[in-house]
Amino acid sequence: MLKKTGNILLFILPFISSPLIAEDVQVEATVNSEEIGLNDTLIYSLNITTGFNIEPSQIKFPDFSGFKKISQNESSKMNIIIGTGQTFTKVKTYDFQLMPNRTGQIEIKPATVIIKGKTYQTRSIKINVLSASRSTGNRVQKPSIGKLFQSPFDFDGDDFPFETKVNDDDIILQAVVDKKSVFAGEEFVYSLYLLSAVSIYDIEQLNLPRFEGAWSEDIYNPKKFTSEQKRVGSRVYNVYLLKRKAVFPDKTGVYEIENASIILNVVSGFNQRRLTRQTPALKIDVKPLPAKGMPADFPAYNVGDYRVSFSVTPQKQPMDKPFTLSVVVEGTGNINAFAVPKLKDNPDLRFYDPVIKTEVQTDNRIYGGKKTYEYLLFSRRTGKINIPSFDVYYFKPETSTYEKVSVSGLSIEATAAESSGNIVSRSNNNGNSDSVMSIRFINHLQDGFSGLSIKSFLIFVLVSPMFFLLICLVDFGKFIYIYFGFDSEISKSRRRLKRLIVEIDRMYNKQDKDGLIKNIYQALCEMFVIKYNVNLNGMTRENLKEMMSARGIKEEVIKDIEEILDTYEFVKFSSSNILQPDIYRLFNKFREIIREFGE
Amino acid sequence: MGFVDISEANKAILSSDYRGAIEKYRSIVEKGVEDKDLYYNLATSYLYMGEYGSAIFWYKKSELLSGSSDDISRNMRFAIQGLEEQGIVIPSDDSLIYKFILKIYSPYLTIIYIVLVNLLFIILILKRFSLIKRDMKVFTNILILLVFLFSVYSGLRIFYVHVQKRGVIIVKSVEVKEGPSDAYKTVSQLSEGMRIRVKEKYGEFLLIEIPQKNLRGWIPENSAGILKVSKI
Repeated sequence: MLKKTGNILLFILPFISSPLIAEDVQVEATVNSEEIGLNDTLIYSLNITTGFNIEPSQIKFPDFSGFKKISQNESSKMNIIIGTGQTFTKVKTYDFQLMPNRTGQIEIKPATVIIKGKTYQTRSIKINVLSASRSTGNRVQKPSIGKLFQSPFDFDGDDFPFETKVNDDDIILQAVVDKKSVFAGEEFVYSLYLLSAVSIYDIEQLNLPRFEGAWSEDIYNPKKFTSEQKRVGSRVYNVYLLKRKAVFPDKTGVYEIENASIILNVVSGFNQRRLTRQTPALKIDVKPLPAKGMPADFPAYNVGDYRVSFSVTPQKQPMDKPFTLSVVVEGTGNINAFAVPKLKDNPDLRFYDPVIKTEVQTDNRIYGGKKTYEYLLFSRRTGKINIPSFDVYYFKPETSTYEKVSVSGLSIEATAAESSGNIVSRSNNNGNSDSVMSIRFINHLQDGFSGLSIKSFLIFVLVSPMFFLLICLVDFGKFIYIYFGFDSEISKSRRRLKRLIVEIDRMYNKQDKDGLIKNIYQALCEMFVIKYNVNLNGMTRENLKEMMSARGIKEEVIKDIEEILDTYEFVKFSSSNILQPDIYRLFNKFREIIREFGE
Repeated sequence: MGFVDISEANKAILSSDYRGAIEKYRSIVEKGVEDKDLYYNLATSYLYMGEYGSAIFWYKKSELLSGSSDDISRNMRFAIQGLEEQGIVIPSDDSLIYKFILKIYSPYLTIIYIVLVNLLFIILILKRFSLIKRDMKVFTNILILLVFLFSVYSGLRIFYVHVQKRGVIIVKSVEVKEGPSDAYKTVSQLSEGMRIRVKEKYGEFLLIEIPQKNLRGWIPENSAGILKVSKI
């Protein structure tokens, strides 16, 4: 079916599109460079742009005297421009790869193309051939913007890739880890390499593992890939380092690194080929930190090789000025996650949460850096005060030991506060000493909820009231419609019937016999108006029976209706009590009638 | 708001570099950050600098976002005492209702109010379509009462904070003119920390009023800070 439709479309497309096809014909000759070295390669391209179904009847290429023809290639593409003037164009390109025979200026004569009897000619092109190759210099200076790899056309003539087939082992994606077994929180390095024996045009997509269950940091993330040549077995590859990460697994057991994959385009002859490569998953054995010697509340990420230093400055000053206690942790490991215990409370000191600064330093393989904790301390009294000591622990994987650095032996000396022009303390009206409440020491204003803007508030608060108002307006409209009698008698009856049914249920629950039978009778009357547009009050029993039979009402239903009418008349005229079971039976009969009438 | 680091400004104030702290806090305020702690710290920096008018203004702004608190009241008292030592008496123009509104304020009240209003109307809508059969009279009546009380509170807060523009004089002294220009006759003089009501703006002048002094006139716009926050 689809094939048939396609054939029809192919058949009718030229007819539909012929008025829309561009009549312009363009014939153009271009070269990749007008100045080349004697050993360089020149690419000469002849582009013929025509309408959809127009073919050149004759093409005469230049003789390329002064050049040696290395190869020839032909390609074509179709352009469809959709807009106000929909056009179809076809571009046919002939590429010649040429190598000059001599130095000096060589002229490439014009090419001639005949299309629909018209002759088109390209310009002649003069090429300046130098004795020295220019391609080496070009290659260094021409890292094409937006392309990660060198263009295949940047290669020397001798190096030009003539391969037309890419084998599996021409491109290899390889993931490597530097350790097979680590402690939880210890660094291992994951590197992803691309080995290539063919020319790479570009990388479309690079998918890296997610490293779930581990803290990972980039240590090599190139914006432009560079390669070095390496021999692998009997072959020489260009090896590109695509990514290198420091990974700190935090769960013990076998840690599996997902596979990485790459989609890339390589140069195969004059064409590009799209390839996909994937690494196998890797496994690392993650050992738990040794229980022996582990301090209580040991922070899980304090694993690495660190140095801890500490100081307090100044050592003596007035008590209204802050002292700064600095604790500096420096070394290799997951410095971002390194934790220092909190300062212990001291009645003589007031201190705030530290200002933490982290400077990450990485070389090609090791992640680490420097983390500084700055505590601002205020003395609550004058004299010498010892800063409470605390211990910083970390686990050193090389020796498998827990190292301890005690921050101790520090003291400050506070002198009496200097009087300044600023208010620090004063007497209040009761004569008691009072001081200014200092700032709220919050270092980061976070995203927590701090109230709604007035606009948002009004929008949110009016959502359901507006909806309710809309319903009220609709109801009001309905009321007006009914109040002024715009609705039909039947809809009035239907409304009355609905009310009566509710009322009947209520009467039944209240065991109000008189009310029940009266309402049932009224409901029957409304039902007859709705169904048959007949008023029960004006009919004799015989007429009614005849009418019901004529309308096809079942005999049992007719009997039930008659019984209800009899009961109603009996109640109306005798005002005698009806027994309880009768009410129940009557009520059930009425419900059956309602069901029968479909109301 | 994002994640705003004010540690450098905090460090400056704790190192007694109050001017540096003010500059750092102000640069964050100028980026459009609206935060009670930021305003509080800025006010405290002004207080340490002895710029009491600005201190009162920023404490008042902080109070609008957080409600009354002990540290704000205490520091404002210092600012007022500082002004009194210079012979400036600051009459309080805050009515009991205004004080009450600030006392009970919490940003979560608006959320509760939104939930209650919507719940009430959802119940009414469901009842209208007979989707609720149960008798919920007591619950509905309590809900109506709560919604009424919250509506009164929200209405008053909108009136006092967003409709009735209040301000504080933040310069040492400013002349009140008869019209919106320096060329007009001076009718009075106001000192820093004075509370004003802003009625209108014309060019670079504000029409202000102090009900207690029965004073009405124009002052330059940059001599007063208007107590305005975007949050309800």
